[in-house]
Amino acid sequence: MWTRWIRWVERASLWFAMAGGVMLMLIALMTIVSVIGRAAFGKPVPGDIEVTQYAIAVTISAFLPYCLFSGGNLIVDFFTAKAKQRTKRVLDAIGALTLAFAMGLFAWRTVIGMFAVKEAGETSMVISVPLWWTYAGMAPCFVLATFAALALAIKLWRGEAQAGGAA
Amino acid sequence: MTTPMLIGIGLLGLMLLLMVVRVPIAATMLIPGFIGYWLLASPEALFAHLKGVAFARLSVYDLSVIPLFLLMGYFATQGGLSRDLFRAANAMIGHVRGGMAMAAILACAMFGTVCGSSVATAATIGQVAIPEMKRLGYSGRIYTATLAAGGTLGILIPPSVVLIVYGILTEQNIAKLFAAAIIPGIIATVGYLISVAWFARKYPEHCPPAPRMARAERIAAYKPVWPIVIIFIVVFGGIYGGLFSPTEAASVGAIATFLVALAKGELTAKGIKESFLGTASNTGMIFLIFLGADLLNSALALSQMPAQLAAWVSASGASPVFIIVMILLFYLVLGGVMDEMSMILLTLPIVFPIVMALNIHGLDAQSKAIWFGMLILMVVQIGLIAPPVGLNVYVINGLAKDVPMAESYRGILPFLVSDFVRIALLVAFPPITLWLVQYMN
Repeated sequence: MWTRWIRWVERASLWFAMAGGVMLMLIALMTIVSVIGRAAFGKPVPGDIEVTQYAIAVTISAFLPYCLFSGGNLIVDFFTAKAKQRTKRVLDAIGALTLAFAMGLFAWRTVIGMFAVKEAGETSMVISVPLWWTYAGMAPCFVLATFAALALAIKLWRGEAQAGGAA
Repeated sequence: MTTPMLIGIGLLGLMLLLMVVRVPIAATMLIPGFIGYWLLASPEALFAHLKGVAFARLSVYDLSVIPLFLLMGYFATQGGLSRDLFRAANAMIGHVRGGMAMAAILACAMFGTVCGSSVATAATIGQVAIPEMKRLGYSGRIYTATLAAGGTLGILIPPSVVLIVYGILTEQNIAKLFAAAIIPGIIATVGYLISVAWFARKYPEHCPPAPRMARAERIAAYKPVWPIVIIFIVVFGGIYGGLFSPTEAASVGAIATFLVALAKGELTAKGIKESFLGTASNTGMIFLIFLGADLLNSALALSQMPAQLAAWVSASGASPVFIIVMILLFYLVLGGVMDEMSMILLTLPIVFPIVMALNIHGLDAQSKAIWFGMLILMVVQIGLIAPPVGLNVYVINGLAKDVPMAESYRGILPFLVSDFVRIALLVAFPPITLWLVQYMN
């Protein structure tokens, strides 16, 4: 059953990353429209900087789950390069669990933060976007990142994945 | 020593310990960060901090520059622009001794103008240049070393992910940092060309010569390169002239490269997907470490250790240039075992205030920050190719698995010599970096 769950998490992570990519393209397009508006009519897109700022926070968060499967689990291999394969596998799985713990903490606190900000009714300066929207975009990403780190731990334990990086 | 300071030292010790036992680098900083914040402030303070810290650190306008420039580099790769660049460079200088290696260096330099990552530059140009160099009979030593070293031009020449991160951490103007990097980037390219020339003269058997192409053939090879030249001029001309902010320039660059790649008919749906995923992977990695370093640094700041360290350095009475050289040496050693990006993110909040308190060649604060940024960039760059673990050498050896790692490192030596000469020049003569910056408004 874990195998199916892992596949689900991987697929979701991939879709989050793709959605992030699309969002990044939209940010770029909006910025270009704003530059043209400013140059040609003296009028940039209202609130362009704010929107970019919030959209980029969500975009980066959306990239996190996928990156855990593909190099984001960068480790220092230098000291254990000659250790037994089995030792490495166990250490790597535990390492991924610590990452899952950290992501889980961020996920939990970001959800709490979302409710607090919503309660307070904070909005952005120029076009009054409710700030909790950004939190609401980030929170699922951190939840999925937690799952991704857990899935990675299982894969590392089974020897189906390699810890990333040579650095 | 006070208890908070001992805790601070303990946190760093814990981080190193976690690194030794293969915990992912982001977590080696996050876990001590949690513990330190818990102990030095309180659990409540930690949880309150975590509530908003991801939002506060990630919702920053300038951060968008990083994924946008990464995306631009991936579009260029997927659109086959790297192959065009290598062909054009080879048409230009392929016929001299070591010419194809020089062409690879030039292609890396040009690719560096649309790509901010050294690993991506090495891998991209490597994919097109290595088979060609092999075919011509180049030795594994020279082609792996050339590509590993040449790849670092990806971060030396703007856009540069390292410089953007430096700019954000130290609150410096990214546009000015880019301008400052142009002359050192040209010096680096020329230095590498000289390294290749020296190598080809000393070991002619490693680099067999190639015939000069016919004129028509050369002109045909130059033609596909012009869109890249135009994109570079628009993006950096725009930044330098104050027309665009770096985010705006990166947006224009990413979309323009996307359109060029589409128009060439080489950017497929699969290529777009690969570009998004590559950007996601790279961006995610940087920001995961970014969050970790930020949390650990918040905890360290609570321990007063960085402030004490800074006070101790300034009270030591050592000469400023000596302190700078010591910091650079410390980075070179640390870079031997640690990933360079993590190293910068972790140490800069501690080291930067120390540097800013020094009187270096009588520079004002902004010039000093830009100058030091360039030195940081050089140190990171050297770490990418220097033994025992140079990330770029690993990447290139992944593409050329039949070449032993020791051979690659032997080939790297002439390039490292050129790196050290350049870094010495930059330490001694700040105007090399600052000259172009002064003309910006």
